[in-house]
Amino acid sequence: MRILESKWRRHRLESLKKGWYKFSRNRLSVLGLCVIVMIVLAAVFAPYLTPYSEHVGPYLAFDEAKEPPSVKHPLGTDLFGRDILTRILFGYRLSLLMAAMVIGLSAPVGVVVGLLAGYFHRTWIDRILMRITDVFLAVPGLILALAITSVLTPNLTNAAMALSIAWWTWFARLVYGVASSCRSEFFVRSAEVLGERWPHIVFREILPNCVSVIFTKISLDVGWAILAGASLGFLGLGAQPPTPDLGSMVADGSKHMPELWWMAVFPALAIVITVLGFNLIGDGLRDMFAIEEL
Amino acid sequence: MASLVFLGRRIGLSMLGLIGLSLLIFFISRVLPGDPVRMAVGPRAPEWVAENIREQMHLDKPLLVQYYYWVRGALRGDLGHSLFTRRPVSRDLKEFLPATGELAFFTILIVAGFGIPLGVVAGRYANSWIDNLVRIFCYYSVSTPSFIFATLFLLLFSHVLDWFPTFGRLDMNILRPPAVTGMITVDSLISGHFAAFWNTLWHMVLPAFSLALPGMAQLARITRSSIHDNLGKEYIAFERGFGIPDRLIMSKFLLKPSLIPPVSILGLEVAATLSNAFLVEFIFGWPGFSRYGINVMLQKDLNAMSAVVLVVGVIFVVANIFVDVAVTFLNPKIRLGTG
Amino acid sequence: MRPTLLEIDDLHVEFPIYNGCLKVVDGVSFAAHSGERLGLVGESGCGKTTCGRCVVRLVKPSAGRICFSSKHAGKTVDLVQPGKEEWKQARTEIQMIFQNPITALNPVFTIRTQFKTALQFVDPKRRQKKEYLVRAATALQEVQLPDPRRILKSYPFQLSGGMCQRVCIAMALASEPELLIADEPTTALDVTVQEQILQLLDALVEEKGTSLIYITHNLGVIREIAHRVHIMYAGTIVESGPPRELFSNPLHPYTQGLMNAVPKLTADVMSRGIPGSIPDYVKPPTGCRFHPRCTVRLPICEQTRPPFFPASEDHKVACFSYQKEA
Repeated sequence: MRILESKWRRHRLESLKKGWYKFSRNRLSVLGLCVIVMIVLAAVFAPYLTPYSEHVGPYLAFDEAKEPPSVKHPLGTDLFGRDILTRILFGYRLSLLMAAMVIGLSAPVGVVVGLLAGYFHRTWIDRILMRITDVFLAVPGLILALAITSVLTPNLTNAAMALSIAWWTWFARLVYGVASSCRSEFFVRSAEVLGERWPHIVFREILPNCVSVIFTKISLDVGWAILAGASLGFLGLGAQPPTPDLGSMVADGSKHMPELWWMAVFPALAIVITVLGFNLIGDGLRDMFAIEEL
Repeated sequence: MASLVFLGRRIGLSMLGLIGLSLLIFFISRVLPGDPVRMAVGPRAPEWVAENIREQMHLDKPLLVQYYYWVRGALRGDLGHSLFTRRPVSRDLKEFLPATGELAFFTILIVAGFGIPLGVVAGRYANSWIDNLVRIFCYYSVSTPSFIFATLFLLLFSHVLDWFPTFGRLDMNILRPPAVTGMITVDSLISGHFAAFWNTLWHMVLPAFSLALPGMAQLARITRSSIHDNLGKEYIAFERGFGIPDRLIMSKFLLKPSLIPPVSILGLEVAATLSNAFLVEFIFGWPGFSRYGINVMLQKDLNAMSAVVLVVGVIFVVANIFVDVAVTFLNPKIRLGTG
Repeated sequence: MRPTLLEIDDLHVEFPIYNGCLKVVDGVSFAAHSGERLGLVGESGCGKTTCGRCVVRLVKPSAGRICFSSKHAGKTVDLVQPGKEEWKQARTEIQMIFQNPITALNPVFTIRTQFKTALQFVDPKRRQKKEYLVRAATALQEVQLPDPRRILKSYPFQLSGGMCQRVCIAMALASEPELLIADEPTTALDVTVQEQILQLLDALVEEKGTSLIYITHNLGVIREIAHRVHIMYAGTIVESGPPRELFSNPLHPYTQGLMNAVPKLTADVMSRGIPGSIPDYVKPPTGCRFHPRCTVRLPICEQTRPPFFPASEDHKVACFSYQKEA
């Protein structure tokens, strides 16, 4: 047992080394990784990075309002005198939190649905599950989320829930594709012959094969989830003021263009850079999980 | 023949999907907290007014009965009355849908017309400076949501440079052509009001590009990788061996198989465009269906909301069918079955 | 002595990977003469396909020269870094047939479209469309495909592997190349079809006087078709000679191992394999690449790469055990 374990560990180390090599060949992906790491760190340590933590809550200081970028407020202040940089940092927290919620809710549901539908391929389970998936796909995700959010009280949790309802279908479809093609593979059939029950087969045999696809999709999706969250926030359907939401900051700022341009431009840039970072990582991950020959 | 059956099945399934969706939205909208009727009539209206409206909308009856009334009406073209505009929803739709239709049409034109050639060029000259430029552009554009583009364009091209108008479809001083389709471009061409034609196009530039850029970038990326992949395939080397000139290979033999992935995602791109139109129309004050949709949802206008979701669903289904047909045309394997 | 058509000199091909460089082809030299049929034999992964692909410029060599004497260009063209014009002229004289016939044809166009276009550029004089189709049909008949019209109307995925391969051969030979490189053309096909394709190639090449480089891992096949065979191991050529000679008198330990590994109906014992496994291409063995598995290993084998030693007129071996004292 010991020998097997150490061999397995070495094998995993090798795979990680290979994976990192492939990922790092694409310099842009490494750049994306750096950007995202910085953003995550900034979000986590936000309160320690800025002296203006109170600006996130109800704060009014009209004598400092509407100030362009300066040394004191590197990204300027908004209508109520709140420091924009601080609000962006805390806004990141919210965006990342929302993305985590959306993915945390939709991924497990979608993956399980996809696995079940894929394993019970061509039975009534498959058909029902896939028809349900199609129902949710009949309307573009954002619009569905919009419709759902609008009937609920607008806040962060509800927005995340609404997005998850639209999101899980993509996971389901993806995993369904992999699972149903695994279905006819030998390792599944031999497991059945050996008398394994279906939960074991689905979760211990088929699932590991889907992991790389799921992982890649998750890393790509964080970017899109942030984007979708920002879109909902732009319409005022996300976190409510005074909590900083990147999308609503852009919306507020755009009403005062072009004079108070910094109010809209900086949050917008914040969104773009984050999504950009995740997209870059996503590309690198795709390279990493591609044909594992070398 | 197989493809017709295939298509028929797709349509049928989509219909089923739409029905399921309408059920979903219907029920969600009906069981919401808060009282939309009260919100619509205002806090000072007497209760009997609100009661009347509730009765008219069958809100007092059980949910399934309500659904039945709604479906019956929908099949006849009567989607109920909007709580806020007090007009039949179908009239509202007729007024706003063509505007969005125009915008969407030009947006898709830009997305495909610029996106695919960009991808082809990038794929052909992969890893050269052209490719790198295109890729950088694509990365940025894909990561930027339409509403940010809209905001930025508005700032830059409208407020600062004053090259394009800020809102609306037509300048105040230009006469609107008699409505035939409701689309100003088409109507003006039909009636010969060329001033209106150019003017509305000018108004459309900024919103259309804001909507189009992310989709264009995505399409370009997929086209690029498709072309790049196929360039290394054996059949291209085989064809080159016969001395077939590069430009023929690029324009015909490489292009057709490489178009399959981008066209397949065109359906998704239409969906994304539709979704984003909701925000962009809002920003540019484009009196379109999407802006109407947002207002309707923010105001919890029940009938209108269900109608909007339904219409979006129908558009999406139709777009997907078109895409499927196009892919079938490109890929003979689907058309003829396997062997 | 026939004129030299293709000359490969000290070819090296390397692919960088995560922990170094895969030295796939490590110093290969041979020549093909006009009208000659050459066999390149070796097990999977020994670099023979890569050599073939270098000639048609699908793979870029990291070192070495490939010289091709082109009729159209009227001179010898360097295929590693040819000039644009030279390559355009020489390209139609070298054709390659690939291992997987179905992917060698464009999947979204009919055979008719592909063949017609190929012929249009092979024969620059403008002819009627119908004429090209007739020529295509004739070519298909030459490769013994019944009902050429139906084949022309089909897409590649509608045809079987054997039929596709015949189409590829027909197209390749329609341009009347000087040199045809066949990269394991029958590996993806049924055994019964293999024999037919082989005989077909044999007959056509003989008839048109085309030079052939046949790449395969199948010893039996090469015996029938080649004038001269090169045995490759781990990116190097270890023995060369006429097939008869090679088969009846294998000299290199690897070749001997290969011959022993072929099961014989008349033998009393089971066939024996070669102990060990193919080397790591990132850190290949020093000196002779076969030495870790060799039964007659000498101390010098570990240090220097053996050059070719002539064994008889046409037969040479890269093995120190045949080094004759000067």
